[in-house]
Amino acid sequence: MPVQQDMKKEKKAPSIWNTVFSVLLAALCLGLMGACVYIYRAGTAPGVDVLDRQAHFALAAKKVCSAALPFALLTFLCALAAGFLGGRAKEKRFSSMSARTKKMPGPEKKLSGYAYVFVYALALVLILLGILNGGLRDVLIKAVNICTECIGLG
Amino acid sequence: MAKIADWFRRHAPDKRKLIQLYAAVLYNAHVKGFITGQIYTGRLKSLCVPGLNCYSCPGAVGACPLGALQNALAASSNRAPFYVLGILLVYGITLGRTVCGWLCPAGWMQELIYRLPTPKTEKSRFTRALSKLKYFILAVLVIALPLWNGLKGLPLPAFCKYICPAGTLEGAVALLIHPANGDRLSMLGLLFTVKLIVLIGLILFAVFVYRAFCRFVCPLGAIYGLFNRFSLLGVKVETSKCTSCGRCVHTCKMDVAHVGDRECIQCGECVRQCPEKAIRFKAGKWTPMGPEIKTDEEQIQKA
Repeated sequence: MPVQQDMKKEKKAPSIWNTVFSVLLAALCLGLMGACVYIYRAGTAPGVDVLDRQAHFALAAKKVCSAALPFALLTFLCALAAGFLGGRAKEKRFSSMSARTKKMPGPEKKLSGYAYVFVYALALVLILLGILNGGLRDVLIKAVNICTECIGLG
Repeated sequence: MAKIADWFRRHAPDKRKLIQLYAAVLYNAHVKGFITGQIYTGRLKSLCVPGLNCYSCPGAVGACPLGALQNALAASSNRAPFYVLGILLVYGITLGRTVCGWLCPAGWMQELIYRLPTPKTEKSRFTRALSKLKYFILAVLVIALPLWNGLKGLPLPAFCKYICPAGTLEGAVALLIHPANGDRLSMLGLLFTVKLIVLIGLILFAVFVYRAFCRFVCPLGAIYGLFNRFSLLGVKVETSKCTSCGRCVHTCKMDVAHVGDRECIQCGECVRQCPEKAIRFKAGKWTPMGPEIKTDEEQIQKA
């Protein structure tokens, strides 16, 4: 294929499913933004005690999830419908004239074989040192207990 | 029937998608955990998997390298984090960001979400500049904060705690939807709300922006990207055949300046696109994908 030939542009009219899905997705995005504001305000409302704030946040989040879930499901089903029944998006047009790239770099820079051997030896030494000084045990202890901080439970 | 068969043939996943699926399944092979709601506690968890996979997922059979690194740095007042650094060095020098393109469940999920038929954003100078954000996140949230707090005796895996969407989705949601963990629901609070918003935001971004998390946020990709040019496995350009047409860079969805740089996830798409067949996917001297191209030394040796 000649380098400067433009790729053939395939264009079909988008179907109603694409439109419906786009509208639903936009509404979902706006709704979620509103939900974030709602959750924040639920916890920081004037009458809420500081100690009860987290419970209010959680309750508001739960309400949002229950309300948003059917809508999200509907959006997902529309996405599936759009994917199978919808029209195709435009193919990306390519032209070498429009590509702005630097000239490719010079000869491939890579490490010599000895450098790779050295790096692997270094890695092996680090791993062995880690096993000897208890680093391996630390990783195991951390991994076999649920990290409540990591999953957002504080 | 022929139509259905033809549809399946046209929509069959390619090799890379299958390998991504296998990796995601392998990392979370502890199926019993999903049934009982308990995480795996075997000794295999001392080994870090290459990709981003939360070790609090009920199915996870290995440790997350990013979580392990933060905890190791947080404990560095007691012992140096040799083990995790050694593991990252092995993965980096062997695979580089091939992990991102082929072995990371988070990247795989983003690619699936990106297939939704919506308008897509194109890469630009802005996205290229934004791709530097992940190095900032690596420096501050993964290295500096855990180290600083660890030295004060207050361990803080900052990236895992405040941002990581894998922890929220694979850890929190996967655990909390199980009835056996109902007592943990009372622990939900502001932190979970923030993380859930971050997760939803990243999922929505992934619909419109190709691999938004990988390009702009993921510190593990940032680490592997540093090894990309030297990794044994990855895409390589035969400069003698390259005409600098730029098709590889133009069709690449990542923010690459040239093939194989720090932003390249070694997916191999450019191998298919190159009109001069100048790009190949190499593993040392073996070429799993692309034309067999011998270097000058190899041709002389053969002669």
